Amino acid sequence: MKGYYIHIIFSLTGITIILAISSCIEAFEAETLGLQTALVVDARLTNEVKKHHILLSNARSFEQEDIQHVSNAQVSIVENADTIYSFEEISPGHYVSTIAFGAKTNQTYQLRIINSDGRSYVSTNETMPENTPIADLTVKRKTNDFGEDGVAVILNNNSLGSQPRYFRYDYQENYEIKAPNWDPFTFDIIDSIACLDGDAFEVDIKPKNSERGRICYGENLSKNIILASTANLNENTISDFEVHFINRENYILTHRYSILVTQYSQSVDAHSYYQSLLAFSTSESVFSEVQPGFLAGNIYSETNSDENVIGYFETAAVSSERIFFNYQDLFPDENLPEFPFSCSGLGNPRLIPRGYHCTMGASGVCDGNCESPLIGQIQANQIVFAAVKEPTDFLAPYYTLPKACGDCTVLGSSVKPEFWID
Amino acid sequence: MKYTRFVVIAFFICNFLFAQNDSTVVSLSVTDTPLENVLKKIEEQTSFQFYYVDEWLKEKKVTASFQNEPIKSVLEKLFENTILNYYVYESDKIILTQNNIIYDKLPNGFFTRTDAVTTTVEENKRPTKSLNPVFFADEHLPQTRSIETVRIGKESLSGQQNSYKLSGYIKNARNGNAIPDLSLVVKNRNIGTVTDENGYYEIIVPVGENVIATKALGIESQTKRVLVYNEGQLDFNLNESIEQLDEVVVAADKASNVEEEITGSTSIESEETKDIPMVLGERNILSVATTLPGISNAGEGASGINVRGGKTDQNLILLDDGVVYNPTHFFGIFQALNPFATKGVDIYKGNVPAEFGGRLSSVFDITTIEGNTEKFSGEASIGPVTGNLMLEVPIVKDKSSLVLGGRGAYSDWILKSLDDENLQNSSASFYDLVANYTHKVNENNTIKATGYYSKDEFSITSDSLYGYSNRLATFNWNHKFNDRHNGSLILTNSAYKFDIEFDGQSNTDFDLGYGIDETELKLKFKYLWNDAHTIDYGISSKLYRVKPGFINPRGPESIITPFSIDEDRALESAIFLSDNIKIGDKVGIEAGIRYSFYAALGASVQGVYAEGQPRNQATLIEQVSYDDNEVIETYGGPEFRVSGRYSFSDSFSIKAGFNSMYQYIHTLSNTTTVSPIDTWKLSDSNIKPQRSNQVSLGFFKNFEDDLYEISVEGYYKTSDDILDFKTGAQLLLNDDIEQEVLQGEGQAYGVEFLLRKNSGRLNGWLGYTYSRSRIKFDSEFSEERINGGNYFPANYDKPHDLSLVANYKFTRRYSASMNFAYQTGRPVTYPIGQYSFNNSEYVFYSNRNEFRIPDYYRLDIGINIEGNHKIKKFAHSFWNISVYNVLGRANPYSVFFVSEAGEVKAYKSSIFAIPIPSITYNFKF
Repeated sequence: MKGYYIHIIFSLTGITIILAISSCIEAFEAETLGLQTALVVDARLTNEVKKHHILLSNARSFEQEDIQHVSNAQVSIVENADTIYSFEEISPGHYVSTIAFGAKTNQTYQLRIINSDGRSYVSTNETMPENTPIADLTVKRKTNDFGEDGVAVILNNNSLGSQPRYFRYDYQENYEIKAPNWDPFTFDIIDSIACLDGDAFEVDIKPKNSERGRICYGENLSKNIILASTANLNENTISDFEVHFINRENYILTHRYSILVTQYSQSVDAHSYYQSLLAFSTSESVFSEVQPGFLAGNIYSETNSDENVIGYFETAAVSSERIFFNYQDLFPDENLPEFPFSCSGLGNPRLIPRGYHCTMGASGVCDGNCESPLIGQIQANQIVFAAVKEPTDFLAPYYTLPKACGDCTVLGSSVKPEFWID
Repeated sequence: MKYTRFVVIAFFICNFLFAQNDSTVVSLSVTDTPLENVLKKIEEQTSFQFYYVDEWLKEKKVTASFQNEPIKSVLEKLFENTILNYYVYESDKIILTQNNIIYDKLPNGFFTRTDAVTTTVEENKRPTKSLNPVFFADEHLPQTRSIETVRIGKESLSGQQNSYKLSGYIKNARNGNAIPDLSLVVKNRNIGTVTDENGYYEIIVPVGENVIATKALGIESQTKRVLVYNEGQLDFNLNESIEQLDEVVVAADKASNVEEEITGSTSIESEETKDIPMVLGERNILSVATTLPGISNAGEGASGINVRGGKTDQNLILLDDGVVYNPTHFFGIFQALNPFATKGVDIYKGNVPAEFGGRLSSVFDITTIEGNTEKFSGEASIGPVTGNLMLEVPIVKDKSSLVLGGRGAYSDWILKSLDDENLQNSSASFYDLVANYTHKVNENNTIKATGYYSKDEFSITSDSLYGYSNRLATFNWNHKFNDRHNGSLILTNSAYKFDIEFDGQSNTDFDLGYGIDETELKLKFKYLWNDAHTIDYGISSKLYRVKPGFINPRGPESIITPFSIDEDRALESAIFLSDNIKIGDKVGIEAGIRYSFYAALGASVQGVYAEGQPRNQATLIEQVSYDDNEVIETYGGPEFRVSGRYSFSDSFSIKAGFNSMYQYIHTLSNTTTVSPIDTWKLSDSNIKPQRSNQVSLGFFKNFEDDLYEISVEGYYKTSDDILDFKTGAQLLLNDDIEQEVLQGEGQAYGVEFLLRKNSGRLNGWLGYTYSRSRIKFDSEFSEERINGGNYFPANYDKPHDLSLVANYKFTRRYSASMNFAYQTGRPVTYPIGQYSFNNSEYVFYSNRNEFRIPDYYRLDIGINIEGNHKIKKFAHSFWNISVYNVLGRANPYSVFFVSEAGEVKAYKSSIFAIPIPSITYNFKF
């Protein structure tokens, strides 16, 4: 994103050319100045009949990497103020409904949480919106607004009625990865102990017994907030909405690609909450910044009305669609995107390091350089076998490549997803 | 008329005096010869030339005989029995004057009492200026000629008084103009008075014989013997007197800071700011204003000015009486005013004259220049960003003139010439045009018409084009009813609009826009009642028409539905009266009252909300429709503008003031600094007008003949119903904007210190302000509270603000200038933690403005080179070489946090992080 901002300034003008060289945006390590913690509720209820999942955590300082889960809370969702669905904690902070259920259109739902210390929180009553199915999900080659060539994932739907509809999207993308230099052989470390056992280091090669690492499947989940609405549109439909754009240079397109787009039909309040969250977490102009502040959701503390609760209890009707395509379908006879690792330069790490020396002969104690670069790199999962060096070189017997070139599990899972269609 | 042209400033004492020794001798012998012929003979004999009015010599005959006598004694003898004086000028010219003499030196004390000059030069410009007595030299009384005796009044047996009021007008015999500041002295009685701006005087004189003498600069003196029997009128018609002095630079307003009644006012002349180094060499009086105490902005690249802790929408910016909604180009970095066509700005930040109203914090009264009525002239400049041209075209000689100004940024051309595809698709440009026409129809009528247009266009991404424009037309007819009463009829219309053209790859292309248009008619009058009272009064009425927002599809492919929010209309009227009262020399009071009245007009649909509940969609009870021009809601009230001065001496005074204001129009902005897409909203049934009260106290002292001025001013200001917004408010195209608006209170106070040196090799000023500005939004509902309903610092609260502007003249041609600024960093809302939500990390904010960005400081330097002063040269040139931000300090402008690929990233931005050099070439012709 940094590049994007620089782009903004740079595209402004000649004045801006001066600005671009003179103004600067630099990243810095944020420090926490006076942390206040707050309960974070990540909860959404959909019309899918399933065990719904709610995540409770506490806000944390910038210095803390890990999520601070909130355990031992009593979580429930109340339907129409009478039916109670309770949740149980399956792992710290993760609460799952005890039974599978789906929210029903136009019914109201309220989230209730009682903390381990007795503080209670409730959401406002949220009505389950009507569902709008995705009519059509397609991909199209196009050049985006920044002049990049790539693939756009385009969505259409047909909303019902005349009221404007509000949607949020997320996606899960999966893609096939092929290791370009997969080799049926792999290293076999025979002896990684120097001197003592009577001989020097020894590494052999052995056949792999499977094709593991030859074809893998990568997965990414959308991380940004994607919103669309039919407000201000001619017809109450979302038409040709670009959910996602993948640059042609991105290696995930190389072979076969699949995207599952999930559409959440949400309430106008939920929509504007997400809009504000989006506005606060992106910056549109260097010159004017949206005034940030505490973004109140729909969850309040019953114990202390001044306590801030972060997050939103969203009730949304879900519709999802999956699509597959191959690179060749959209970019026939064009160069493939570059593999993210360079697989052209062969490495030749030494098996026996320089300065290797054993006292008292081969069975003595190593008193020189006792680390084998080859074995070190194999053990660190950095390299794969590429070829045997010829003529034979006792000190550095093998050519190697970065691990990903011969083993795609670096980039994805070797297990084919259940939904995958070749 | 054979003489004159060297009118400068005259003086009155009848003594003979030689400018220089002259050894020329004359021989001649005449008997009963007309003086004129004698002078001609002398001209033949010598190199001397005489200059005089024929009439003076009429019927004057002389008999005399000289043998090689020095010219001096010849002249003395020739004029011995006449009322003529002479003066030798440039060694071969002899100027004859009647009754008075020419001085080649200024009298002692001239410069210590220049206030008299000030009032004559600045007549009418400043209604509040005091009418102090003119200086004159009491030690020499004018030589009396034949004294005329006048009888005043009819003696009556009943009701005899010891003294009576004598009044009258004193006029220039040649053109009938009133002579102001002329003193009348009753000889040997210690009674005297001074005429006002209309040449009117009043004096109480004892019954019986009085010898009254007139004295004024440049006017012949006259003495009359007045026999006073009763009240009566005595008018004088006086002749001008012509005298030659060395050049006197009249420094108008030199002592005005001490003498004016109103507090918290300041003026900037556009021409004076040319030496101050500015970003990219662009002259900017608004930026110069921010170097003065009490005036600041949120940072470079932040449009909008904050005056005495007020919001950016609380400044009334007038150009020749018309409102300019956005007087800046390119995010506030450049002023949207042609620097050559702009004469200057009067800024009122404390007490505001009663004629102005409608904004809480200040008035920036900007005026354009009046064109040269004698010859075609102009000024132009070429800088790294803009080209500027201003022409003054006389239309009717000495009567009317046209000023045309144009200015444009040629950055677009630079963009287009670059080889980068992205840059070629984007654009950024701005221009402004100004024209005015002034016509002096006759002695009593003057008209001035001004037109102005400014336009900015820039694209932030290649698919959207932002534009905004100001348009303004004003017409001002000034009419003098009589010498004491004049009035102006002012008609103005101004408009501001912005639009966003979105032309992307998808089918949602649109045009989105906003517009405000206002038309005002104002009638104001000035009545010089007497020496003690000057009265200003008038009425004004303004009609607003606002297009709060519209969106239209762009192109046939677009699926956007046209949508627009109904036009808002309102009428804002006011009646005002103020009196400038002088109680002796020491005390002056400016007492003003303005009653403003506002009516929001239909057609409109207004939401009605449940009482005692937060305002949102759920508490919207009903929507009430109003017909065209139906009054929706009215607001109004008196605004008091009172200030007073007490002068301890000519150079030291104390002033205090109370000022109250109403503001009926508000900007809607959800950004921390001004954004070009902020809109203006009129008060309606749900949004109340803002109000403020300010008290101020100041001490003003001038040193060393007004060379240095020093002032300390303090103020305390409260405001009510100022606007802010709920966090995350959507303001554009929002039909129910009142659901997002919060109205709260503001509190601001500060002390402003200014030391200024006005002339000399080294001149400039040092300003320091300590001020605080805090705001509070409290409510019984948490969604309508900010920071728990407590006071918190406003976005522009910068306690310490120091500015030093200095200019040093090495020679007439070379000067160097510098500008140093230091400010406390502005408050920012800094996140207090991060959290995970929906697969991504976000930061969360709590209270607003609890932290501050680091302090700001910057040093700019400039070198100014004036072209040489050869008179014959076609154009007078001026080079300005400057470096902005010499220290290269990357002053943080903002700190922001974004969520990128699920991670939180923190960034800080600065606008001008490196030194920026520039060269500007200006020339005048």
